[in-house]
Amino acid sequence: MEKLSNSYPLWLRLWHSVNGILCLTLVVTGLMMQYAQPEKILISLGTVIYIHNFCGIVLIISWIFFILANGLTENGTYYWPKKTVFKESIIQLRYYAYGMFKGEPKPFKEDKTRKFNPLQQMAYWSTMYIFLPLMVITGFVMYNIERLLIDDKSIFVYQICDIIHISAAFMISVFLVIHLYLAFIEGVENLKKIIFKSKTHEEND
Amino acid sequence: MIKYGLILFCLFVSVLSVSGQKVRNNPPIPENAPCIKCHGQAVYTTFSMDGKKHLRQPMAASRVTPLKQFQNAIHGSLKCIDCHAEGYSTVPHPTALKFDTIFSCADCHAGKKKFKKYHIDSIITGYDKSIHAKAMANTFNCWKCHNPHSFVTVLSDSLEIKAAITLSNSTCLECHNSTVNYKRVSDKTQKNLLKSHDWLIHPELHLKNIRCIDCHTAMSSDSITSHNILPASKSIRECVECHSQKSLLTKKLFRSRNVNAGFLKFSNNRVMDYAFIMGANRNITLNIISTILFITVLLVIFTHMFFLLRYRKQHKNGKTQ
Repeated sequence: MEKLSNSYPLWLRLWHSVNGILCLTLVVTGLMMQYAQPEKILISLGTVIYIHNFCGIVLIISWIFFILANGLTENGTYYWPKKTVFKESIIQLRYYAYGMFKGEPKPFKEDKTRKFNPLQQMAYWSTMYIFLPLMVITGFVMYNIERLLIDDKSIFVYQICDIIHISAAFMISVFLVIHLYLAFIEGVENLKKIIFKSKTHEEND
Repeated sequence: MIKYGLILFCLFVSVLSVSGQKVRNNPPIPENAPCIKCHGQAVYTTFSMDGKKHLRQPMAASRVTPLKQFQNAIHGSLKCIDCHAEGYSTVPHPTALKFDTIFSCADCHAGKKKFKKYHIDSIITGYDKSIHAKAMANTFNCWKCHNPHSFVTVLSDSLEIKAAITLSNSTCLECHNSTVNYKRVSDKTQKNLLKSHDWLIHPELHLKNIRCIDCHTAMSSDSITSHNILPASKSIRECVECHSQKSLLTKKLFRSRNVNAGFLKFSNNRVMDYAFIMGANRNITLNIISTILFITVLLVIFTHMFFLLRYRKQHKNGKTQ
C-alpha cells in the first residue's frame, strides 16, 4: 500500500498547535465565566472575558485559515467520512475496547487515501465542521450583542445562542479530553510528529 | 363625543397604569393660584407700577411647575406657603428669601408613623453616608433628585422592569447627563458617561439595561431604595458581583420579580423575562447532564488507561522473560 508522505506539513502543525492552545484557553476561560463566584477570584472576571473574547476572535481567523488551507491542499480530503464510516467505526471501537489488549494490529492503517481511522475522521469532521462553526457563530453573536440585539425578543435569541455555544463547547471539551488521551496512548513519537517534525510517516503497528 | 371621551380616558388611565404611577389629580387650591399664575408656565408677565407697561419674561426652568403636574404630585394637596415662607407673597420676591433654609424630606416625614412605609429614617441614614451628602454638603439636598413639586411615589418594584430602569436612571441623568444641572451642585467637570464606563465590556448595554443605583449604591436591607450613593471608586467594578450565581442584581433590580420557570430550568430565572446574564443564568438541566456525561467519559478513560497500562506491563514482562 502506498505510504502517506508529509502527512503533517508545517502549516498544519502550526495551525494544530495554535488551535489546541486556543481551544484549551477558551474552555478554561469559558468555565471560569460560567462558574464565576465572587469569593473565588483568581483573575478578575473582566480579564477572563477579555482573554476569552480575544482567543475567540483568533479562533475564528484560525478556523477560516483551516477551511481555506484544506480547500487548497489535499489535507481536506482526509476529513470527509465515507459511507462506510459507521460500520468501520464499530471495527475501530472494537479494537480500542478489545483488540489492542490482545495485541491485534490496527484495523485501519495510514496510506495515500487514509490519514485518520474512522473514529478520528468522525470526531475531527464533526468538531471542525459542526461544533466549531456553531460555537464560532454563536460566540460572534454574543460578542456583538450590542449591535445585533435590537428588541426584547432578541433576548430569546441570545439565550438560544448561549445554550448552543455552551453545548458545542462541551462537545469540544469532551473531544479534547479523548483526543489528548488517544494521543497519549499512541506514544511520545506521535506527539512529536504533530508538534515538531514533519517526516515521511512509518506505519506504526 | 362621549364615545371619544371614553376612549381618551381609557387611554390615559392605561398609559398611567402601565407606568405604574398613581393618578392623584388633587383639586386646585385657590391660595396657590397667584403662584401658579407665574410659576405654572415657562413665560410670565410683569407690569410697571402704573400698570401701563408690561414685560413678558422667561421663567427659569427650575422654577416652573405646571398646574397639572403639581396636582398629580404627592405634595399636590399642599398650599405653596405650607413650605415656602410667607414673604413670597411679595412680588417680585425679595432676593433674601432665596437664602432661607428650605425644608428637607426629614423635616416633615422623619420619625412619623404615618410615613413609616417610605422608610424615611433609613433613607436619611443612607443619604448622610452618600457621596452626594459628603462631597456637596452645601449644594445638595433631597430636591436635587426629587422635585417636591412633581414628585410621585412610585415603588419601582411595581413597575415593568424597563419602566423602573428608565424612571430610576432619569433621576440620575438629570444632573449626570446635563452640564448645566451638574454645575449647579458641583465645581467638577461632568464626565461623559460612555467614556467613564468604557472599562465595561459592553458599556452601552449596561447603561441601558440596569439602573445606575444597582452599581452605585451600597446594599440596603431595610430601605425601599438605597440612598447611600457611592463614589465611583467604591462602586461595583467586579463583573462577578452580578455575573455569578449570587448575582447582586437579584437582590437589587430583580429582587421582587416573579420567577418564570421556563421550558428548561435556569438558575436565577427571575431575570430571564428581561435579560440573560452570563454567569447568573445557568441551565441547571444541561449542567447536570453535562457533568454526568463528562464524569462518564473520564471513568471510561481511566478504566481504559488502567487495563492498557496493565496489559503493556504484562506484555513488557513477558518480553523480558
